[in-house]
Amino acid sequence: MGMTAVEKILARASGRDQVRPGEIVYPDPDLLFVHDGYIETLGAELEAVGATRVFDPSRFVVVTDHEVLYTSERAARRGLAIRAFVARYGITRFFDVGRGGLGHVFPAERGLVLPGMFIFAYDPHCTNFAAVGAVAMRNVTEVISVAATGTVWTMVPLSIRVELTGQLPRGVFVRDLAARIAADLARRTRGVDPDYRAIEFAGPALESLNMYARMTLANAPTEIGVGTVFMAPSAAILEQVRSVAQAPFTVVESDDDAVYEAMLRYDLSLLEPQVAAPPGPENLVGISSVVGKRIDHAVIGSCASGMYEDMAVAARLLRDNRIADHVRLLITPASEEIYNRCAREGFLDVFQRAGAIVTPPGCGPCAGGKIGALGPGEVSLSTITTNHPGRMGAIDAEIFLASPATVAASAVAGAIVDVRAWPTQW
Amino acid sequence: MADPVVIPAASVPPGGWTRRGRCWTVGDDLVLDSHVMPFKFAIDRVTDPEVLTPHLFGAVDPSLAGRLQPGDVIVAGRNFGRGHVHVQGFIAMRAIGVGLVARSMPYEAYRAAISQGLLCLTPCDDVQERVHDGDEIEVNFETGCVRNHSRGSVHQYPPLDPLLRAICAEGGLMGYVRRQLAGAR
Repeated sequence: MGMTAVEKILARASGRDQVRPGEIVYPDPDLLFVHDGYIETLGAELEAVGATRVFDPSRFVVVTDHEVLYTSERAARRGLAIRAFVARYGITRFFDVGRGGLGHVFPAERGLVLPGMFIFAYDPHCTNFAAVGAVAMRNVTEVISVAATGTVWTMVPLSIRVELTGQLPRGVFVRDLAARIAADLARRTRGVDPDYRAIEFAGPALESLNMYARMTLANAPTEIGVGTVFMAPSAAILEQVRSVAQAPFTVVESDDDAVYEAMLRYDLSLLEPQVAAPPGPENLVGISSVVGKRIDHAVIGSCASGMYEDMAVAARLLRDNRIADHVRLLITPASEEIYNRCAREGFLDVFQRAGAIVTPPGCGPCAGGKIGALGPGEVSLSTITTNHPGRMGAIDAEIFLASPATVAASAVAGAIVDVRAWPTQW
Repeated sequence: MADPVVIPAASVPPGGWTRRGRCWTVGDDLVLDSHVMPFKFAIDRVTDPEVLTPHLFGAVDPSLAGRLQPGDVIVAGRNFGRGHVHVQGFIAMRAIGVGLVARSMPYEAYRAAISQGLLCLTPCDDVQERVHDGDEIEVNFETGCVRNHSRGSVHQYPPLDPLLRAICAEGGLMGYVRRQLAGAR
């Protein structure tokens, strides 16, 4: 009986020839990622358990993406605590404010995260690393165990295979597809339970998706409680990875006779633009039911949709346009590399002229609304990762989620629009 | 490479691996942040069992927390502890000394329960048909055996994994990590 790539990678990390779903293993990760928002707490926990060192300073990566731009003395103090932590434990892979950007994006761009790797991370959206054929699993508050001892108990997940065929129609994007799949899983409309499953994407339509599009696809299922995500890297992605790889790597793919709990198929040509209405990503509706909804606030960015192509489509729609007077639009390129590309190609100028605010690379307003927050009763249409109440400030603000194209066009219109009906060429 | 992880042999948690007492059934799809424990305690990061225990299952039955005795067993239905995961409800259950048997639990909720050292048994597919509210039941988490003393029946479910019992025996993940580090020195 064959194994899925997730099972193979977990087996290798656990020093085993094979593992089966439901087994508990203690994997030895290739890397551990912790972001700026949790380092202070982790420092206190390491002291509480009597740890005098972290498991391996060279595999411990500290990224700064949740609060890149200090807006309070408290934040600056936290920065001091993070730098003290890094010095105390001898962490060599430290990305301070303004270095790298979003920690679910730049480590793959720079060849730090590589195909076949097994990764633990504090933050759930580490599933983005599936974009290069790595397997990443979240630890959240249990990260203390990995930081102190190098591992934590991990159950081998059941796998669900999702086959993608067909081409997206004009005006429909990978973000729409990702939202649709996540909502279908959450509502169990395809008859499977997504709880802690490994979602493996495959099929001809996946083959053509680049690293950034794969991150968008890998990001959404995390919000509805899957265990991890996997995609076998395409030849194009492997070529890109080889040009930046910081270490040797071995590509891992699923066996032909690997066992899946379920197989789902999606024909991309049948999709329309999607909007997630409050109170969560599972409340997904077709665009027609929300067209005309007035908005106050819009965000293009996050580890789901802050990629180069997201910026490019926003620039196409915003070029020679102004956002509506009552709307504020915040745009956050996810990484330094994406930001620099936007600058070189003139997108930052387009955004500025359109009346948008460009924030430094990182999570942007998605990190709990530390910047660009919502007030009571306001309505936001954004590309952030989730729309649970309070995600960007006021608990009674309404957050709708959509693709970067839908958000950019709606910011201009001042209300939610169907970008397929946009009056000018874009 | 890191040092190999030291996994100590499981000792025994306070009260042992068995709970015997009254069965309290609480139904399907209970949300951690509302049915199990008011959300405000998660927001305020309250971890003091003295504060938390009076509010356990308050949204299901305000009188329930006051009637729970050490050794009692909460029997939940499908999807127990859904929603965003917070630990306050599990802290309260462990502090009272009850055990938890659930037809099913989302993985994150299950992790949180084990991390807090709560003895729990899941999945238990037909448990809602086998035991009823008010029955006197005995649950051995080490073997997965559930005895219904009121009805004279015995039911077998998947036991609590030995690797997870090791965590419960140390009162949860923090205690377990502390013990691992002490063992490594």
